[in-house]
Amino acid sequence: MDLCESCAKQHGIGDPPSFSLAELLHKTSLFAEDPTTETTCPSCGFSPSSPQFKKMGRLGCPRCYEHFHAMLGAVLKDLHPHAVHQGKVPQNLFGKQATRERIRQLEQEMQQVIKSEDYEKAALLRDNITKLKQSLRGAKETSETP
Amino acid sequence: MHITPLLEAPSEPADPSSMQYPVVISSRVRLARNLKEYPFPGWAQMSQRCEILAACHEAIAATPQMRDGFFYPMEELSEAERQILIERHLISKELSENPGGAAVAISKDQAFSIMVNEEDHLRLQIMKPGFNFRKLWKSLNVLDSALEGDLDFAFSEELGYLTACPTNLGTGIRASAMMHLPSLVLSGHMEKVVKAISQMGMAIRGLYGEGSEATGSIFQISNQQTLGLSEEDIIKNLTKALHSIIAHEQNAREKLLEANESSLYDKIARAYGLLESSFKITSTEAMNLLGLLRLAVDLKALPEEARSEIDRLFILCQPGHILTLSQQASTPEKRDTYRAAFLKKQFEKFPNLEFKKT
Repeated sequence: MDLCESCAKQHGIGDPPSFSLAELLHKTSLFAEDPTTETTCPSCGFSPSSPQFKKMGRLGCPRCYEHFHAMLGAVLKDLHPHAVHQGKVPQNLFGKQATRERIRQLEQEMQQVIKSEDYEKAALLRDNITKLKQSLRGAKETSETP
Repeated sequence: MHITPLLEAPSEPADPSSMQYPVVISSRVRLARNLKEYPFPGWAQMSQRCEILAACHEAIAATPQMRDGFFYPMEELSEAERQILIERHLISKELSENPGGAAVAISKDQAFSIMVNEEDHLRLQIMKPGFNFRKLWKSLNVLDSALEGDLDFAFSEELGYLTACPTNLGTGIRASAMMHLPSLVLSGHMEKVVKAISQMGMAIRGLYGEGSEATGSIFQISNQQTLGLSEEDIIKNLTKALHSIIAHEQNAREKLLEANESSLYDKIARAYGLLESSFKITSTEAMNLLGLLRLAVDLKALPEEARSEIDRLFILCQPGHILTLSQQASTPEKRDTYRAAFLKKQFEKFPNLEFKKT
């Protein structure tokens, strides 16, 4: 059952994920200290110094993840220790041609990761490559969509 | 009132196969999705929010699951109506507080609801009485794939579905169960359970310790990890955690009965008496007492049919519902009086308690 705001406050219960994230970001102060990182997203004009990010831990648009990738790296690692997606993939995302290209990219990425000795990530990338290869062969879908 | 047809529609009966787990009141699965080309709702201009809403509305209306359902732009609903939707878990407080360009679509059977322009562009949810996450995920996955045909979702191979808050990245899935844990609360074991749950990587919402009984001993337990595991594995892990909580609750129940059967029965009988005959009752007290009657069903002191009736009264006793039912009773005191009278009427046809003698 959801709690009313005053009861939650009284017992010191807030909305944990976003608050802890905001706190985490604040603590690491990844953005405030270094003036060179204080930029805005070219797609949406969002800046990590905005209150929406500091209070709620929310970004401006999907492209912010690319643009602020370097800055977000440490935070994402803290939040999601095994940070490679394993679940559903939108079906209309890649055609077969694009899937082949994607496999080539992932294989290159895997070689690099192996060089830097991050074997855990390499294993995850390998799994993704296997899945993509299976889908190319028209093997059984991993998602349960009919 | 805009939402009258929704209120008058029959509520969905529980799946009978889930009744072997009476501890789980209801299960819910939610997915966060965003359109590739637009800023997230919290950063978008109002004109963009309206464009997002229009695109999502069209895609939603085209899915078979949402056909003949309800669609409510937030700005068209009164505060009382929004409160009712919150109490039914069909929308969130955040959606109701940022109504510009925001809306909710609800399927005819009220199992699916889709919030547009809440924290993310789309929040798809399925919620049903009982305990069956695999089935829920399957149905929600089909709806998600149907929307995917019309909308381009923001997705990255590494981070999965891109969400406004990085805590939801990856699958964007949040599965949660509403659990009724009166025996763990009564026997003072809730704190231990809360610790164990967070060690399993799950989140628990709700009070524990002193204030727990005031909420009807109901807790919401959900997965925290969204990235790095498949949807199936996330659900499997949550289900495993829930099974262990169920076992603990049932164990605590047996111990309570063994140690102090008459005091437990006394609590239940008094709860029944208050619900049936008080003249003024607050929503928290009503929830607390109804929680004890739910326990009475588990203990077979009330027939199984009473369970869904109790769960229905749980919702109807909430402030927003009482405000509407009482035709806008102006003060909290008047509402408490109305609530007591309403319950008294409901209890005229309620089955009597019959305790097994041991």
